[in-house]
Amino acid sequence: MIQLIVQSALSLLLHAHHISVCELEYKKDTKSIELVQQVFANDLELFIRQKSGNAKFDVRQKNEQTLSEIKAFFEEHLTLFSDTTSVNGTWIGYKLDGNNLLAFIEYKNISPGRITLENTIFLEMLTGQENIVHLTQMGTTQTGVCSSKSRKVSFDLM
Amino acid sequence: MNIFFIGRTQKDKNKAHTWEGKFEQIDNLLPTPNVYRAGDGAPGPSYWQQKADYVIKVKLDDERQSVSGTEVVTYFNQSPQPLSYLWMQLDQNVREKGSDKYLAKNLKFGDSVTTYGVVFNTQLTSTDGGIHLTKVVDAKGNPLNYTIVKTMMRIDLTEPLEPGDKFEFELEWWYNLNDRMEEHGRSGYEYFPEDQNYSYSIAQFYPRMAVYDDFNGWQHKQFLGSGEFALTFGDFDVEITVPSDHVVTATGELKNAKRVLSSEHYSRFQQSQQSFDKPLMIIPETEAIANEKSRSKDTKTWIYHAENVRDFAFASSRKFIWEAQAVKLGNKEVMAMSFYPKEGNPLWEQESTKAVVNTLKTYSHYSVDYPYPVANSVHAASIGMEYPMICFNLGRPAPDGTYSDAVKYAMIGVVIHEVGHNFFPMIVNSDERQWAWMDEGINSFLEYLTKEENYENFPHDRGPAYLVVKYMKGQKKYIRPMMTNPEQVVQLGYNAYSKPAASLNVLRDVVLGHELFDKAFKTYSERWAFKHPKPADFFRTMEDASGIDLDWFWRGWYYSRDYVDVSIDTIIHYDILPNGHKADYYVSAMDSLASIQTKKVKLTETPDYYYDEFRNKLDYDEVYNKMNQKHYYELNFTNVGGLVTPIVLNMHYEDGSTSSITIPAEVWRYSEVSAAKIMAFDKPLAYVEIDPYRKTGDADLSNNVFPRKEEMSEFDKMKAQEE
Ligand SMILES: [Zn+2]
Repeated sequence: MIQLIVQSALSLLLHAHHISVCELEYKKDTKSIELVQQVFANDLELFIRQKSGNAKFDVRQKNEQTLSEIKAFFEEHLTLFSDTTSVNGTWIGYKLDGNNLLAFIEYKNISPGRITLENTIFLEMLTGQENIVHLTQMGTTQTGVCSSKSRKVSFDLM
Repeated sequence: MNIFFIGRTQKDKNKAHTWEGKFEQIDNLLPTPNVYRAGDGAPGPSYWQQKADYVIKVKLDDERQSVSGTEVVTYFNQSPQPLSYLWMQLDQNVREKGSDKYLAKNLKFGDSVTTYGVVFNTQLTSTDGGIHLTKVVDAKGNPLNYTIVKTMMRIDLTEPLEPGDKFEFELEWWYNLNDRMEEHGRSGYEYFPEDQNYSYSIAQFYPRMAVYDDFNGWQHKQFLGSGEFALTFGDFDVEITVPSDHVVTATGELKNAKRVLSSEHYSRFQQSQQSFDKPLMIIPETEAIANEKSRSKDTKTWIYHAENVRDFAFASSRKFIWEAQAVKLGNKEVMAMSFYPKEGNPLWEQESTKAVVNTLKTYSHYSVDYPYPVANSVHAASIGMEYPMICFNLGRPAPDGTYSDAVKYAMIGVVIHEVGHNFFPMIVNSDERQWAWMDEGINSFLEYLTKEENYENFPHDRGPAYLVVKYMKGQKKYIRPMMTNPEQVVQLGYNAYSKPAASLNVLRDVVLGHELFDKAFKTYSERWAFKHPKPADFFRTMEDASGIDLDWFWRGWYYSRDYVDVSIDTIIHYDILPNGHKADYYVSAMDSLASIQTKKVKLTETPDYYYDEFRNKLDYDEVYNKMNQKHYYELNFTNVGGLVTPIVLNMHYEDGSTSSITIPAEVWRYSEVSAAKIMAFDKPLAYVEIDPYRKTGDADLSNNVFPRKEEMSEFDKMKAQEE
């Protein structure tokens, strides 16, 4: 079968994978974190359609409206904390690669110490959704998972 | 713009320099070959399997949304063992209140929870589910003792069923159908409030024989909702009684078309069997819409016959539009048919039957010719689920009929996937309850090839190796090996679909090449069509027919959690000097990732004692002159990801030309973490690139080029583009 989950009275199709991947890279020299979040484009389209009530929202139509919906989605579902303070990220952009949509956000002035990412992508409606988070610093990658059981994952920046 | 220099050594990243036996044979992981399953991966000389024939009479109650029926099962014991009991699957019992599916769930609510989240997870569904057995008797009508064990049932035989004998028994049952909206069921009904009609997709509706085989004995692992089914082949005669204004389709051939169809529909049905170039409308949308208003109290019985199938499912509704196209496959003619409510249009009339035809042709090419007379694609909201000759598929436009590319490609992808399941596992009948990758993974691989070969620029999200690297890399605590049961795997979508599909593409594109892979894969399909293969039968056949030892591949991709990441650490150019010159004993090439350094190497005469008993000798000048015509390089690699892999190398020469070579995975057999090679080229090298076409699943591209290149990261490219 195709694994998927339907939400509430409206039908929201979600993908076979039930997973997304978020890559964080800490740049010690510039004290910045580069975030690349990958989701399935058709899942995101259906999510935004349902949330916005715009049944014609098309993730592949490049225009201001699409951009602002997509940007708002990621800003709402991704929050980075440096220690316990949330950090404002700078939206860089998004691109499509097949059925994958990649969103790019940059966080500046991040000092070494504890960081926490709250990643709630699709968690409000999906049972079994897992958002994998990789942090790469100094050539080493650590991995955590955000899910409905735990929406946050923390790492120590060196 | 922020250009940065990618470059760091990889050595420090390898903590484990220990030997992990990655090239050892996997014999100790596989069952010992025997007369039932041979060492070459083929069914052995004494291979056997059971058979179960069914005669089913089922009635659909459109008033109460329930199903009732009787079935006569004839079970053939073709095993060498007498059987004192039989096991059947009662899959509807996952919907019993308090079933293990729910008891075994791990669950927490967050700050808020949706109504669906509650209903789905805590079984607050409106259906009183579970099967009710009202009769279990032998052929003479004598009651049989039976014990229901959750989703399974054991029938105790009064006398053992001896090898070669058959046993006939009869069951009578009913159950309430579930609203698929509430719990995303594989089967059930969808309700359309606008016209107050139901569309039924009915499956797992009768007690089904569990598989008894040489490998497990009875496969009666409980159904918890994820691990699908293991079923016995047999012939089906099924009578389906529905309201007379319903349109039905099912597994098998419709035997009484003339009786159940209007004369007009019957004549279009006949014509469609000659329509090879495009689908012919048997029930067009206008007629389907008119039929929605009908409320017949009469019933009609649709009769189906299916041979050598492992299961039976059907769909029924007043709402169905019906189209059909004939397809020639080998010397057979197959009917590709689509059934959908108007809510699926215009997407369904444009894409469904076309996708069925593409799937039948492509899968037949790579595996076995589609052996059944029909292949149905039925539209059901928000699901993709497969049964022999029939599947239920999602993909619905917005209410005004418009749809985006994302909706279209998702729908085409699901139709291909579910029709493709006819081949794996409906024909090549693996045990889904135990091994999800054997059907979902192999099917996702062929689904990818079907999309590639029949659609331009299909937006893939799984199939090629590069699409799984982000899931495979990093720490391993959140992943499981592919050889994990689907009920306890942590990421079913990745483990059972994307990773096995990617692994088969790596095997085809990099390890074996298309010719060897396709021959071996077809051999596996032909050997195990209409049989019950296990993982070892697949692993052994792929090796046996290709002639390539793949134990390292299965060990790495199927049994481990390693990922692919090879770093090219250094390249040293050797300057070959004749006798009398001074050689360099050490070149600190590791100090720089930015250039190919040169090391002077002296070619010396071979001392006489090296020749041992040989009377003839190498000619120094001849060897020196040969070497002088070439350019010698030492290439050093580190296996960062741990998964041993062939290394695809692209050489870029100083004159701008290129060449490529694939170094076999065996290069890692002495050291699993590092490899060094001396290679001679006709021209001086400028740089070398690993995995240039991203076919191996290499997770880190930054260490794939030597000398390291100043290259923008994905992030910086996006930044530059947006500025
Ligand atoms: Zn599937």
